Amino acid sequence: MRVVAAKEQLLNAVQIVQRAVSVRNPLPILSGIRFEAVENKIFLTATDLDMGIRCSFAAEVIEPGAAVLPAKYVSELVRRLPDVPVLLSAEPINGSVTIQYGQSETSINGYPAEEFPDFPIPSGDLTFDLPVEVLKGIVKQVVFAAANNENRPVFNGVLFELHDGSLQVIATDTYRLAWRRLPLENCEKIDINIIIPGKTLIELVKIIEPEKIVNITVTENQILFRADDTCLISRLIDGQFPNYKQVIPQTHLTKVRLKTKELAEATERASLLTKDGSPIVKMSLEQNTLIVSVNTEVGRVHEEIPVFQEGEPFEVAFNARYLGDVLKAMGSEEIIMELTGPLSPGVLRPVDDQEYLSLLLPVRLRGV
Amino acid sequence: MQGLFKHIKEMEAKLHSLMAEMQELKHEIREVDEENSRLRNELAAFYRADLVNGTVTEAEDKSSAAFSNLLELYDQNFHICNLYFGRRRAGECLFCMAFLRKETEPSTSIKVEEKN
Repeated sequence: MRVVAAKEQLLNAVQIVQRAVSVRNPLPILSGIRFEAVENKIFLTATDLDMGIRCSFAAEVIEPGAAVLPAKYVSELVRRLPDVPVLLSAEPINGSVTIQYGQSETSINGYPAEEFPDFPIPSGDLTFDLPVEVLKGIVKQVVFAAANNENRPVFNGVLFELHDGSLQVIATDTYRLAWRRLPLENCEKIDINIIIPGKTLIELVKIIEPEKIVNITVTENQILFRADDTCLISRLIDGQFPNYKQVIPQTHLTKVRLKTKELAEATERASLLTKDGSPIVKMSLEQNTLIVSVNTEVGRVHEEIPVFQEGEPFEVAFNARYLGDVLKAMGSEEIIMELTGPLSPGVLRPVDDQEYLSLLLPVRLRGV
Repeated sequence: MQGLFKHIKEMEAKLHSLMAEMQELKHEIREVDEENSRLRNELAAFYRADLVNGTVTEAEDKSSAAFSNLLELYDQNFHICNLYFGRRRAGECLFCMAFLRKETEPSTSIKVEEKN
């Protein structure tokens, strides 16, 4: 392989595919990035076998070929290269690659390119488009509620239910749950029910440029996201997502409307005095005032927030960290909080958006 | 040289005995694990039977013995939901709570579905 590439493009591609490089995988070659020069393009690929990213850009290919270089060294080197055309020359016998820039050169020992796992791009009929901004919204509002626990893979994912042109996206770690619904044009005939790893979605929105449209193809056990010259393939999570509908309360005893920022700031201040392992803040509502309080051996916090109240007064305790996450995800100046009782999760939703909600379970005090 | 062979033989014997101990431990773990899942299933069956009896004989009684038992189990930091029944829980669980709520408010329909 001999190819001349622009430094900026090379750096951009390396930084994109590097997100799929496996740092702790027992297969050493997976810590590498595969470079392949074909016709007038160079393709960069990395994978940890669960997720793979391929990125391509136009380059002057002198001699087609492939090489695999350790991501750690190649990314650090490319980042520090001068802004000049870069010549990559692979030595097929020992797998090393010489990187020439101006009058200088660096040689990095690589892995045998033929040992790099295959990266077949899945194809299928189940395909639809989503603007990257929508995906960003999903990541911000839903993915935070997904778990990160190897023993419970289903909860590490986000359920995508597409039916009758309506996409419902749900994540839960069993402590909290986030639900979003959005209409999708030209998808009336598509019916899918898949669990996408939360990590995949987080990485996806980081590598796709704003204002792009992402084409999504779903197969039996894989999903492909494609935008321009970048594509990301991920395994889907196998298993049955629990019946989330059963956990959403249907009625409420109390409804409170309040300013998101006021509650977020009060919670943050109150949680400063809580113990590290149990950041519990108490909330009580009476006469259009929500009192956020904490009383520990460190000290006492008492904050009063004016609210619009409908229904009975209540007293409830929440995990401050979870509440903070939920409030950050709301994306609205004002929210509505609905509460039913100590066995029911609080339902939080933006005032002007019926298509999003987040559930947060009160910390149950013994002897209900 | 003889001493070295003797030493190697001794080491080999020690390794064999360690391997045997390891196998025994593995076996014991498997047995404990099997017993654990058997007990978990028995417990689930017991609560299921208790709940069925409870609903037949005391349908009106919301604070039935079965419900209290489940609540007690939940308070002892065990899951009572169908996802992880009998396993230790680290925090509150939406699905356990939904199950408890179902016992206290039997009629539930889903808000999310209503909008469809």
